[in-house]
Amino acid sequence: MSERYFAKVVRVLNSTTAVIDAGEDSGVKLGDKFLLIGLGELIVDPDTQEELERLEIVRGKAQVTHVQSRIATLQSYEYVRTGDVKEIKKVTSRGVGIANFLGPQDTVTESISPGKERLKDLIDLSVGDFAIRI
Amino acid sequence: MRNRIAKGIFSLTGASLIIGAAGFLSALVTMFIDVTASVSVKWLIFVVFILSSFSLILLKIIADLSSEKEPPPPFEVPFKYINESGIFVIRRNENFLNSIIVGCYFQNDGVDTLAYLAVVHLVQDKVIQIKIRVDFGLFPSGDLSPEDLKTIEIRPVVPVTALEQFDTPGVVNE
Repeated sequence: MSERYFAKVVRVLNSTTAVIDAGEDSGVKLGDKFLLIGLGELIVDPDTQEELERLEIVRGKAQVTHVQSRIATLQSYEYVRTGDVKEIKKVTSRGVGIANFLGPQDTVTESISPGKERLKDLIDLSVGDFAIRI
Repeated sequence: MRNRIAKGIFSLTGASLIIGAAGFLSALVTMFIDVTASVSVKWLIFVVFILSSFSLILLKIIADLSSEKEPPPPFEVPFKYINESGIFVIRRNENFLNSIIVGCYFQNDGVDTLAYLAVVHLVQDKVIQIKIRVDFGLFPSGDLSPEDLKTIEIRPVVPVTALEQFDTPGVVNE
C-alpha cells in the first residue's frame, strides 16, 4: 500500500461506521481523523498523454471512536441538516360579550421548527476502500 | 530556471560581457605583466588553485539557482469534468490548498465571468479535484464538453460579493 493510504477499510458496519485494518499497533489513537476514499478511473493528461493517477472518490470523513490493537472503528463526523420548517396557523374565533361587537378575531401563530442534524453518510463506502490520515 | 540561466549566458548581452571581460583582462596583462618572463611552478599552482576554487563557488551558485522552483501559475484550466458529482479535475498546483474557495471563470472574448463557485475538494499527488458549490447558470446544460472546459479558468481568487452565496461552513445543507 502506498504511503498516502494509511489503512484499508475491512468492514462496513452501517452507513456512517466502518472498520479499518490499523489500530494501536500502527499508532492510531481515539479521535484521529481520516478521509475515506475509493479509487476511480485512471486520469490521463490530455496534452502529454501521461498517465497521472487514479481519481480518488471521497466517501466521507470519519473519526476514530474505538481502537483495538490491529483494527479501529471509525464514524462519520460531518453533519447534514434538513431545512427549517416554518408553520403559520390562522385561527378565526368569535369573541364573547363586548368583544362580539368587534367581529371575528383572527389569531395567527407562526412557528419555526429548526432543521434536524444527522451524521452524514459515508457515501458508497465499501470494503477495500482506503483511509488517508488528515 | 535552467532556461533563464542559459538564455542569460547565450544572449547578446552575455556575449558582449564575455568579450569585454576578455579584452579588459588581456589589456591588463599586457600593460603590467611581462608575458615573456618565466614563473615558478609554486606561483602557477597557487593561481590554478585560486581560479579552480573561484570556479567551484560559481558552479555551486549556478546549481543552486537551477534547482530554484518556478512559481506555480496563478490559474489552472480543468481538463476533466465529472458530471455526476460536479467535480473539475485540474493539474496539481501549490496555489490550490485543501478546502479553499475558488472561482471558476468563463473566458469569452477576453472577458471573465464568474461561472461557478467551488471548493478544493481533494488534493492528490498529481491532480486536484474541485467541487462546484454554486452554479451561476452560464452553462445551463450542465454537461461540459472538452471545448467548454478550455474556456474555463479556475483561480483561487473570489469576489467578496460572491462569497455571500455560501452557507454556514461546517454543515452541509441537504
